[in-house]
Amino acid sequence: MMRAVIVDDEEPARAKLRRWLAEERDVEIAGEFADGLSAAYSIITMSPDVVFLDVQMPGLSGLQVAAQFEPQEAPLVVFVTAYDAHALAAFDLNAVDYLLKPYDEERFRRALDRVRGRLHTPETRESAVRAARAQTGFSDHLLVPAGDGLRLIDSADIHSLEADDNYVHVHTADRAYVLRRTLRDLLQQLGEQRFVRIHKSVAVNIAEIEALSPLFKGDYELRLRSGKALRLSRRYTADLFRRSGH
Amino acid sequence: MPHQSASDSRWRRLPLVPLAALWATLWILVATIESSYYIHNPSIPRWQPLTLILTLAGTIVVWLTFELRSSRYFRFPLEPPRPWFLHHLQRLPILAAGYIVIVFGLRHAVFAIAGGKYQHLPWSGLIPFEFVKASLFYCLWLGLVYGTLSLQRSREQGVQLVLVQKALVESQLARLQAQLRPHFLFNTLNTVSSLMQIDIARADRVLARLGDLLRASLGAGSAGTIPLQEEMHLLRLYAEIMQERFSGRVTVDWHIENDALAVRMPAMLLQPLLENAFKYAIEQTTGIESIRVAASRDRDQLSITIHNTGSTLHEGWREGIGITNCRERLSVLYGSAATVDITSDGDTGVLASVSLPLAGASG
Repeated sequence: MMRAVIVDDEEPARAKLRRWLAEERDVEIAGEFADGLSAAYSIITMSPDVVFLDVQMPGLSGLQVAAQFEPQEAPLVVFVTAYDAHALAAFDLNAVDYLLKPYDEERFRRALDRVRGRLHTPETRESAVRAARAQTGFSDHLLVPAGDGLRLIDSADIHSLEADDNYVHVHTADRAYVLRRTLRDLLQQLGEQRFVRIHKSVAVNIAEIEALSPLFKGDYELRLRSGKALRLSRRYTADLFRRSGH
Repeated sequence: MPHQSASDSRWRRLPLVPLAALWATLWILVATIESSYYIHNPSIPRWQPLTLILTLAGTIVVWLTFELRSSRYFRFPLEPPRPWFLHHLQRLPILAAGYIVIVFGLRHAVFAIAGGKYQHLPWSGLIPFEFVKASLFYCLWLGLVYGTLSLQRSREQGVQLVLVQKALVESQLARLQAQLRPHFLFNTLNTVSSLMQIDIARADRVLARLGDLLRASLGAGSAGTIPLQEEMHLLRLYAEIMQERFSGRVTVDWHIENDALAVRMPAMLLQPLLENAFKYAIEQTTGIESIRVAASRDRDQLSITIHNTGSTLHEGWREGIGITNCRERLSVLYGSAATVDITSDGDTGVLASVSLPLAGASG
């Protein structure tokens, strides 16, 4: 059984997909969402097989939603869009499937057949996330779990990212969030202009660095504005000095 | 248009150069023929006919150089031709007299210095003869200049016409796009595509509204201003389509005062503002939000407000292209007498207010 999620801010647009998806024996509609934020939350917690994702929604757009996914764990995404020349170019480049509104049943079935054919190939999952990130650039916002839902935090507010097995702890001024993501992918999403690795498993916001004091063997102690002290491994010193202009 | 002056200054001089070269050659030829008697007469020293040719040719070349550098031929409109010729013929007496004085003055001077005597017709015969000759040649020159300039201009106008037509079409398209974004169009078509499977009458209604709106957008370019009543009709069409798309998530109330209905205003000015109101209304919440459109006239201003609940302007909010277009249109038509403001209304919603003078647009 293929579990599908529909995301569109317009009810008639959802109804159209709902009706056609309901006619498929191997498809189960796992949920319908009218805005990006609740969709992102549900997609991350429900891990559906496929998402029909409207690109233009007020608030968090479809592309911004897809940019937040961990590529290996992302569902297959079929972007649905009315008109967006730039996004279409990115989709074509990454061979991601998309439906152009208005589309007919035949076109819809073709998209669904492609989804079936790709269900077990991980590359196609990554490509949607790649296409979305190519469009949105480095994310200025990060979606983090908070209480029962998700919160969108400003990436400028993040002080440090600390990896721990399969999780990353995202530290802000007043609290920490735990994401099931890899540090490498998170840095790719947020962009390396803002964040720099100081250790195999730690990255910090460059703007938050306050002081460095040498330890032994070429390591340094790095102090953030918040007062927090972290170890800068000598493997990463050259990179940090280069980027912070020393 | 700034690019026009640059191209103007280029064609203003260039075509006259070959013309002037031709002209100078002609004069040198005339002078040579005139002097041929002297050249072939062995009793006359060679410098004498050479002086005759050079004084004439030199004078003409110097004069032509000044003519080419001046912009006198462009200052006066080419159409109709008669005033153009009359205007330039006013210079004829001075030019002809100048020509005789300078050429013959030079010749006499050179001959005097060289110790010879320049012999020619008596002055009483020479002056009328040279005057007529100079006049004929000047008229010929004017004819050539006029012909060249007319040809240039008609070519230029052909190009200009194509450019103007292109610009017109582009501006109409841009206007259409600003009013009815492709995004709106395709989403509405998708709504129809969905509705027609469950409710043909509703699908039909949306399609009819869309048709009306498209027709109005295409006509708006030429209409310029329309009565507020018509603008409100178009706005209602738009609102009904949006309400269909967002399935009852937004209610719209209309408070239009009767005495404002006849006031003329730019067509489809308010649609981007209503579009924003819908966007703000559904952006943050999933509940039912409301939009209120109001219009009234006080002494000399028409004021229109569009208010929505649901969200306020967030920090770092920047004006979108729709509002910028709206503002630009108003400033072209009314200067500073019209205003557009988008503000947060406390913490309950967003208020867009437009104010424009009753006196009507200047264009």
